[in-house]
Amino acid sequence: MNSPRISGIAATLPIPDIDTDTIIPIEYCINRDRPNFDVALFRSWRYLDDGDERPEFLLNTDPYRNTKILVAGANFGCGSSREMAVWALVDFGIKCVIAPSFGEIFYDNCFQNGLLAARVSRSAATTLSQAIEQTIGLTLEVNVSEKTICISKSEIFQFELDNLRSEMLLHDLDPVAATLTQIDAIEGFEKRDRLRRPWVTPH
Amino acid sequence: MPVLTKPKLLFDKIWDSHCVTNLGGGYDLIYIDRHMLHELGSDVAFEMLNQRGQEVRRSDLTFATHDHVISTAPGRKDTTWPDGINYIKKLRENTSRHSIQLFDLHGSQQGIVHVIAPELGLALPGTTLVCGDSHTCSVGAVGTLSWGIGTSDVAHVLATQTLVQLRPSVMRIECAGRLPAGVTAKDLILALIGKLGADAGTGYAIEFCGEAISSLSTEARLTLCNLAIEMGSRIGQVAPDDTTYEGLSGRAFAPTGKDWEQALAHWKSLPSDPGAHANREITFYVDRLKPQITWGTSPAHVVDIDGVVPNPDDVADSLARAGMQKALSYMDLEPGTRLTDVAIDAVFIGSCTNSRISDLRAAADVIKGRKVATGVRAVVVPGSTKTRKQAEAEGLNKVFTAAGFEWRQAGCSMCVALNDDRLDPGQRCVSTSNRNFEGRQGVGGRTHLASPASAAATAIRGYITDHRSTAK
Ligand code: SF4
Repeated sequence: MNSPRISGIAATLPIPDIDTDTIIPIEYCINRDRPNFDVALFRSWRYLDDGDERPEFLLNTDPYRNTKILVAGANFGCGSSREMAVWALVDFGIKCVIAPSFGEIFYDNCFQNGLLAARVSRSAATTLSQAIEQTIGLTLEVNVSEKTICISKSEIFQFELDNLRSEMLLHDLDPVAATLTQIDAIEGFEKRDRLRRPWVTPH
Repeated sequence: MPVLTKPKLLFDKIWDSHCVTNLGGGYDLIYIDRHMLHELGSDVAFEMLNQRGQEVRRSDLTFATHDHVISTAPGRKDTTWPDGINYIKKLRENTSRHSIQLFDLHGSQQGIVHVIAPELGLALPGTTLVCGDSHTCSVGAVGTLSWGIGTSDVAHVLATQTLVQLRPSVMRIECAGRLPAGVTAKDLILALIGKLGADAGTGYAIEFCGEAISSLSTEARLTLCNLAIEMGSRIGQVAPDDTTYEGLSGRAFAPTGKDWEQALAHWKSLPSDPGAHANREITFYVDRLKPQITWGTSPAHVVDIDGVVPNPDDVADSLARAGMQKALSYMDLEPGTRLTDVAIDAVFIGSCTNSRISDLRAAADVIKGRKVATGVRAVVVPGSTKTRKQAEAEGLNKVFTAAGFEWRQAGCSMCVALNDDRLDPGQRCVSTSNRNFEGRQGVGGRTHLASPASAAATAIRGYITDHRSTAK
């Protein structure tokens, strides 16, 4: 079992609707292997056109080069289904993203890759962002089993996570292997369906 | 006594009939009737499968095409766009190894995956269809239950022909009234996103219904459902009706003979039952809708085409304000500017949103006998090879080229900028695609989303243009 605890430096990008094209532009998704997708994480926010860093961008400053936890605005990861957006975050070292809502395909992709996407209330996201902005290098403590995010012992926020997802994170479940344990049910479905809807199979 | 069954929605009927087993906690194992692949979204998934030594469970339900990382140049070859060579080759190898039908780059059935799925009759009412691409929601337009998935899930479907899915809620959007002349499905869906927000559909499958939807063609419904994902919803649907059936009959992979009769009987049972309620019901009046244009970097950043760039200071929510400010600075626009005073460098007519024959006809109608403004790069890219041939048979290509448009081969092209169809930094483009995200059409490029008619009128004037004001 993996440790239920994630703790580390937290950064914030308090902007809504950060899309997966922004998280990683498409030209950095092709002809590239893992774990090298981090070079393009937030590419145009992080780098100038000539490849030099933009010194003002948070993840280019210390201690945020070691960010483990990212707090963002609502609808984080909307848009394209590219799983490379998750790979870019994971390859950079991010273990947890916190936001009021996520793009749905991005959300699914996170758990396929051991990245915790923690859904919190809008007010919790705002409070967390403000706390991060006020204290340089603030560390957050996240507990997957308890579904909590702690700034300190007294400031604790709940996040949403269903059992299947938390199992995936805690036990590195292999979803394909898990589904293949249902092979009898799948075959049974196909057998019944061939009679019920013969028109579905193309000829 | 008659058995009373609970009235069901279109979504519920299809979902329930595809549930292999209930997994608890709101999750179901859902059977997949059609799996569409493209070269970019399947590459790593095949690697995952091959590494595990697994076979494709139902290669007869799996179909592939080349669309994303390919050249759209006239007379293109495998090698015309170097970045794509490996992807083109690997998809050929993988589909041949696993006996999957491939609509090859050079074949007559090639095209953007969401354009060819309905065109070939692969997307059918009452079936489930998935693809490693977020705009798979498009084909819900023919009453399919379809959604986009990531690479790991593509591998999951290849190996098992199923997906583990959390059952979404359902939102029904009734579009009441009739769209005014010159106002299209693209304008309707952009206006809806602007009103409801880019994440209004998160957690929901959306069913579009009402008079305005019934009167739309299948192609217009495809445009509508294409942007469900830009409202946050993976799934957009329209109930099948006579328009759907007429459009499907005779398609290459549509059922025939006795199968067709049986399918049709099933399809007619799919529309939502009277008395069935969605988790959220919305009514939207379309009678006074105007053509829409986006000004920012989210599809929700949209206004009437005769409107002005909004002022972030008028918005109460501080996060939304921050998003708007960032968008204005990226787009290099000032609040209060009339959109029709904004000059553009490029126009792109294409993408799975608006590249079907009716879109090309609408654009050609506006362009006929006119010339593209000096200094504007104007590009038309049909959504499929079939569409290109149809347009050429109708002489539309001549209308475009005579006006100064480039007439290219089918593919995603300037919607995703994975080849040399892209904007230079700072260039501004009116595009019929679906995403105005930063850099979507090329690093530093600025995108304004609009309908084909608006895009065409814009190309002629060189400024964002309400096509109704230039009607001949
Ligand atoms: S045309 Fe654009 S949105 Fe459609 S599938 Fe291609 S890249 Fe995606």
